[in-house]
Amino acid sequence: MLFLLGAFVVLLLIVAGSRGFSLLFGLSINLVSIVALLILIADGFNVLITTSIISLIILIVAIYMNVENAATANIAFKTSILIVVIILIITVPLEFWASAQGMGFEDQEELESFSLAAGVSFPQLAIAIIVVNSLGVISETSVAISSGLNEIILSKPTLTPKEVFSDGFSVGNKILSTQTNTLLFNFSIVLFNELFEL
Amino acid sequence: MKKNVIRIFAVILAVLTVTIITYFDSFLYKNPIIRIEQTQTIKKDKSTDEYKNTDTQIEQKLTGVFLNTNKRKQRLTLKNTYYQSQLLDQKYHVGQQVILSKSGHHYSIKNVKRDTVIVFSLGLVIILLFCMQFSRGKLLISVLLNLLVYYGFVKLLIHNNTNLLLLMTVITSLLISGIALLIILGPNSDALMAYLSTVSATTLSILLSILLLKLSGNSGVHMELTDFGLQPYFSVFYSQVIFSVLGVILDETMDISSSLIEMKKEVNDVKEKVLFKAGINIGRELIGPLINILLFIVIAEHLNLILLYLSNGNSIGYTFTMTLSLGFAQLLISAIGIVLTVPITSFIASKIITRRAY
Repeated sequence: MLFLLGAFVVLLLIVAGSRGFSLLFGLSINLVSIVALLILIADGFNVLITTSIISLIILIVAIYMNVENAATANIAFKTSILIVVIILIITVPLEFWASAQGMGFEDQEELESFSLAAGVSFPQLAIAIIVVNSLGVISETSVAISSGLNEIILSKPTLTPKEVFSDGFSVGNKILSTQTNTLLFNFSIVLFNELFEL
Repeated sequence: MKKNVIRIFAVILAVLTVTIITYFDSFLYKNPIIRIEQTQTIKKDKSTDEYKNTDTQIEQKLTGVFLNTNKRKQRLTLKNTYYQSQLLDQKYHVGQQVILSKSGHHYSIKNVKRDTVIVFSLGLVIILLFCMQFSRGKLLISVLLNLLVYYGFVKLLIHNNTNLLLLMTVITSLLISGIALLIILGPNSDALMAYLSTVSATTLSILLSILLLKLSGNSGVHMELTDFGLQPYFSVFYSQVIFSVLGVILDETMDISSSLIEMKKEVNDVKEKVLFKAGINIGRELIGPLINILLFIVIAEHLNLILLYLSNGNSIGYTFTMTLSLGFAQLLISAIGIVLTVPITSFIASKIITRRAY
């Protein structure tokens, strides 16, 4: 594992240069925050409050470290929070409707040796999972769109708000197609094990 | 603009219709299904386990009406016990449709009927894509076709023995990436170029990681910890890695090479070196987002299990070894692939594109 890590770091620094350092720093902050989140929840802190605080930290680091222009960063930050809220409004009712908390029937065997009365609210944890899962995508997308638009406006200051709005769509469309396969393939790997069991 | 509004309305209408149909489709199921009409809490037991976790076990009485089979419209009363934390068991609500299994004359709850909510959520995604004026119809087609190929792959796996797993994975991935690129970029030299970069970047990163893992004697990577202990460990692990790496690299090469093609169209006499540099610059911006996405996916996937380990009195180190070590090894291999793709794609694309005239 250490060899893999070493190879990754070396390659990253060769390819990305100085940008590699800030990338590594951002990644480790994310990792540390998530570990902190897990430990706090396991120690009995409220799931939802802890998740929102940690998410704010992750968003702030991801956005303010990667965007040099302060005004753009502020916009990206505000939109990210807005999007997280909208996602929660859409997905939380769906999650309860589907009773999708906890683990599936197929995991029962694996869990035999555990005390299942964990005292952690798994429905609340399901919400935390949605937030954690979407954070990576949201912060990156909002940064990409805001800085992309910022550059467009700088090069053509005469654009009307309506034109800028439609430019944002075309930037966003490109991002949508760049992330589709990544998300889809990694989801299919999750299914991989379950399908295998059949 | 007006045309678009009409289109969105049509999509919304279609989604609603399909959702409503699945709500009444219980006659399609072989297992009996009831709709819960009444719930009542009978008993509450507060208990503390050996790790000082306090939880409440609750027993509820459920009354429901059969929706299918020859018992249609008859009533049934069931008991359900669950922990308040609801890890494997759950609380049932009035109005929920529940699938039962029957043994002898006794019914027990098998699962919640989830088809309505799944169809609705999928519909919601489609509606949102239409609202965003998502213009990449080709991408959707390629995704659908690839799901079909993947389904075939899994079917084949189930029917055959798993000795050929790795070989089949390689063939499937070659097929899937080929289909995606052919449909999205069209049957031309652009697609061939992207295919070449995708395959070589994937192969290189997988071979490199196999070599590195061999060198370190697989330390820290517990392949026997795959879910369900699937055999053979090596093939299962690497099949997952291949699919994971391929998805990311496919996105990355498409992005870099299409940007470079566009650049060549704008500046016809662009130099090979300039193109290569531009490719590296574009690629740099992609590395961070893609790795971050994978990181969050890996962790979110295991969140439930990690908390169960922690609340069962395990140390943090042990918990992470048992739950995340495989995921992280996969993540690192993907990350290496993501980084390697940037120079490989830029190199291949700049070589091929500069020779062309537009």
